[in-house]
Amino acid sequence: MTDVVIQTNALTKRYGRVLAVDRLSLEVPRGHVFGLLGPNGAGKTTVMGMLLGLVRPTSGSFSLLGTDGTGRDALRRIGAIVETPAFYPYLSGRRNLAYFQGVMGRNDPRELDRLLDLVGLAGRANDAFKTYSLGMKQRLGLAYALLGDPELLLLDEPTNGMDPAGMAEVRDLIRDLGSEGRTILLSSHLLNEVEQVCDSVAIIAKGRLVVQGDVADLLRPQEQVRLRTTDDAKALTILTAADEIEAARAEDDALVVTIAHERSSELTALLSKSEVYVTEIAPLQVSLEQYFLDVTGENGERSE
Amino acid sequence: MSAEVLALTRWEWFKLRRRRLPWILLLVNVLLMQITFWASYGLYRAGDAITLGVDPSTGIVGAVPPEVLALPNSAVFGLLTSHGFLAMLIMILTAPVTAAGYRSGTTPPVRGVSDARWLFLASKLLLIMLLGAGATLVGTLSVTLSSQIAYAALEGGRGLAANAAWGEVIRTFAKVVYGLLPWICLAAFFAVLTKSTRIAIGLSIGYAVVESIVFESLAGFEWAERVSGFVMSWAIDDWLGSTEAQLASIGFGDDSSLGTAAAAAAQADALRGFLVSLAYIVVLSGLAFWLFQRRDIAGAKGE
Repeated sequence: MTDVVIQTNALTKRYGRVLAVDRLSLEVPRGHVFGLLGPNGAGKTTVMGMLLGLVRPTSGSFSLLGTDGTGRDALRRIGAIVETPAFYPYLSGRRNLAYFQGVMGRNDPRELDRLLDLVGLAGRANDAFKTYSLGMKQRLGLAYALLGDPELLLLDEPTNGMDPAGMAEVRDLIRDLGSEGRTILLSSHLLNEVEQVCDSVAIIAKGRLVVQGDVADLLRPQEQVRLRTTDDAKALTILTAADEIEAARAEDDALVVTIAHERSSELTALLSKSEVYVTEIAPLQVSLEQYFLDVTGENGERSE
Repeated sequence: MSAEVLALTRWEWFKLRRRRLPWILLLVNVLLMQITFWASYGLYRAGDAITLGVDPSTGIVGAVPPEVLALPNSAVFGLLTSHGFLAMLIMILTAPVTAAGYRSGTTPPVRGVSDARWLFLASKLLLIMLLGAGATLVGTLSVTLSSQIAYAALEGGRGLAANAAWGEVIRTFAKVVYGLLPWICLAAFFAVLTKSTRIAIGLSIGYAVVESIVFESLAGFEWAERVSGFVMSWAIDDWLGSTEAQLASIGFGDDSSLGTAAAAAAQADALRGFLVSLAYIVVLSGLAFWLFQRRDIAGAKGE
């Protein structure tokens, strides 16, 4: 058993002059729901394609489930949705799944029933795929990815086209799958989705890895509180000098202090010792979205 | 590997049989063969009445060549007339079946059973070949049935012996199926190259038509005559034997011109046709497999 399920080493893909993925080195730990986050055109789908053998890397290498990633052993243990699920439009959802199950060398109608029920398609299982809405297609894609009970799931924008209720259901499902010990690599442009579902995240921009780590770790330094006191100038001096405070600054008519929210009481205690009293305090959490925009340089650089 | 190809072929059939396209193409094939048979029959009878006169022994005006209508001659006739239509129809079927493999959603599970994409393409081509053979059989049976109806309608036709053996039927069947392979490989190559059903169909049929037109129009030139033996459609015709000679051999037309020397030349042409066809099969399928194995799949759209 290896602790790293996916490892890429300087993985690169070039389409003519366009560098889609640039020396990407990732590590996806076993049992994690791992988010692959990046703006459109960042190379997320290309990375998925390379991992599945659909796209040939220009250079670099990767390993999947402890193998070099090109053999059938690894691929048999992987379920995937890449881009919009493309099924056969003239077959029903059930027959599409039966086809893919058969191609995998298996024939288990009970598994089809279970998966169709799991993704909420049991009632439409015998309807032709071409009659499905985009959300239903995504659900079928998820059922297809789960065929054979794979230990690694690669999900490319799995909630794309779903209504809010459907998105919530799928997120719950992904969380459940992750809690069963399955490793999931999830690419999504929905930052709050990654924030809600993923344990770890890699942010890529223009094909390059910008940052990788646990979602909680990435966000922790960004936890801030906004406060007003009886004497803001004195409070700023005290807080700036205090070792336990990471950063403090004056902003508008208040102070912004970088500190974990659960340690807010330490902050008020510190100030009250110097007879500066907090009159107003509120958490000021920088969202993953804000963080994402900051680290990818997308914030304010949209005109490029 | 062969077991995997067969298993994949079975599943290709699982989905293909639920499409309308193969059944429509089969119907079109049967209809075209029926039209050809009855038109030939009608024209021959009209021509026979005018040019061949009346057979005094039977007293039938406009007597048909009964040898063609007798089994197994009628089966050979059906097989030989089927090839032209089938070549076009099989290309129309090959293109979508092959191009569909480029959909991102379809390939990962196949990668799951094998680290070689070529198995996937091989199963598709095997299925198309089997369907081509099946369509040939169905079309031939329909023509045979019609010929039996025509035969029964001719009082004087009864009791006349056929001059082809059943072995000839099997040989002709094998030749016709082999003659379909270059066209299947051509359409598969274009489908893999362009990743598009429509473009692949257009290019395949366009190639066949343009090739025929160009070499027909250049028939007067000696160099064109020399080259024509290496052109796909002409090579396949050589392999099958010229229609005129084949039909004459089973009694449809005048075979008096076919001497021993001509028969030997036809045999040499058939061998060359076989080899040239084989070269097309190897090169086109080789390119298709190579491209299918190597090219990126994400983002492509098959239909």
